[in-house]
Amino acid sequence: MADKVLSVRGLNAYYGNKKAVLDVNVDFYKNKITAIMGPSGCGKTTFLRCLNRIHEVNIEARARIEGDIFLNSENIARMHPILVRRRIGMVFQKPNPFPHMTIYDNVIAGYKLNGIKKKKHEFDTIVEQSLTRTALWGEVKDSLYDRGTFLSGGQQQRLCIARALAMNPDVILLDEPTSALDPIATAKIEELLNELKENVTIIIVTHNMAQAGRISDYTAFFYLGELLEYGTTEKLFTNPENEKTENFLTGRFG
Amino acid sequence: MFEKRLNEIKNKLSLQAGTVESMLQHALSGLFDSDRESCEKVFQLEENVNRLEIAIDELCTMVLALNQPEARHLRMIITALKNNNDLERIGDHAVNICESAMELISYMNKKDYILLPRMAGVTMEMFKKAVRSFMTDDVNLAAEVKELDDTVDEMEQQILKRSISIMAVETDYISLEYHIIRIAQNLERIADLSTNIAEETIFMKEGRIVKHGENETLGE
Repeated sequence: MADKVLSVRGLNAYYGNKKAVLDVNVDFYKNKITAIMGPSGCGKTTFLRCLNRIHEVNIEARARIEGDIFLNSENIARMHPILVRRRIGMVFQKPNPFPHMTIYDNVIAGYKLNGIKKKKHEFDTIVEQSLTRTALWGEVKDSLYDRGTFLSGGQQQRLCIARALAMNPDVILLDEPTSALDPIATAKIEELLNELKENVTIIIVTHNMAQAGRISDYTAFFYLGELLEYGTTEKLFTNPENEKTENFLTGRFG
Repeated sequence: MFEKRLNEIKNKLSLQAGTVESMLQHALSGLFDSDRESCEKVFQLEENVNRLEIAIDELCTMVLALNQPEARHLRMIITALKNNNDLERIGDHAVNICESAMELISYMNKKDYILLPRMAGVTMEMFKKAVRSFMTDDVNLAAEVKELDDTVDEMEQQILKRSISIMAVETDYISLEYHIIRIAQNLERIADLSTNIAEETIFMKEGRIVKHGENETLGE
């Protein structure tokens, strides 16, 4: 079994008094893709947002967590939240490049917004490498100083992945990254994730069971805030142990 | 990932077909050359075939569950599952032939196989062509296999009639003739299963169902 990158112990997540994630214990393995599945409202997105301390930002909803999350044995609660988000990047459901920024600046936005200074040629290298890794370089290299908003939805999403990769993270979290994309753009993102996992650990929330089957090595099944089943995707999709997992996969609820 | 899994299935089936062909060749040497060692080899190879059958089944199940194949990919997996089963069955028939071949060794000088070598030759030809048609997607070769099936059926009938007539008068030869009938029946089953493999090849390549005298296009 591969090395653990991220370990979650006794995690509970709340909105006020309402518990959204219940006592989750799980390890995520290095250079693997883990899919998080479950019916709507089962807590999977909340869980994902706990992993890079974005959940707690939602002060209005009185969001908080209990329990521990370790990134390579280091408790993320004791790290600066900005550092946590650099090492655990996130890509959201709807592509969200910064509309006022050029493609170039979008890629290095993590550095700019955090006031991390680098020389121009260093940024040039980061931009080219990140866009190459997301198979976008060839498509945008002549329009790096145009705004990212003219790109197609699929290209915008790859730009967002490039923005996350630019910080050279250990883990990338993706929250239904292809649900707003057509099948061809989706296939490109899936192919991309499969290549990226050589260098980064990927955790992806998806509603698309077929997608989880196609790309993930491990699958976690959430139900009513609990992690009901976790294992290799091969095992979970062919012979799940939990009856609720089976019912979900065979379309009996969710 | 998907393409890799499909290639792995095809490679494993190719290995399975090769092993079963080797079983058949050893079974026929065991029979016609009264070679006990060849028969032993068949029994050993059967274990490999059984193991590989399970591995191929598992791989196909994974692809169905994880990749939800469509169109030609779906037909390929369905064909792979059926051919996997047919190949394993052919291996079983090779074992049956060997069991009878071992019994016949004591009849060394009294054996008169007449049609059996020819029947074995045609059956072997059908098997090889069926496997090649599947591996190379060659529907013309598959059609040739189907045409040979009647020849094998006729040969089996002739052998059956002849053995029955001998058994009716020569009671000493009942055991010998029983084994000859059993071998003929097993060869006929191998020819039948080879025909299945050929028919599945046509299904895989063209989406046409051609078994039981049908000629129906899938989905129409």
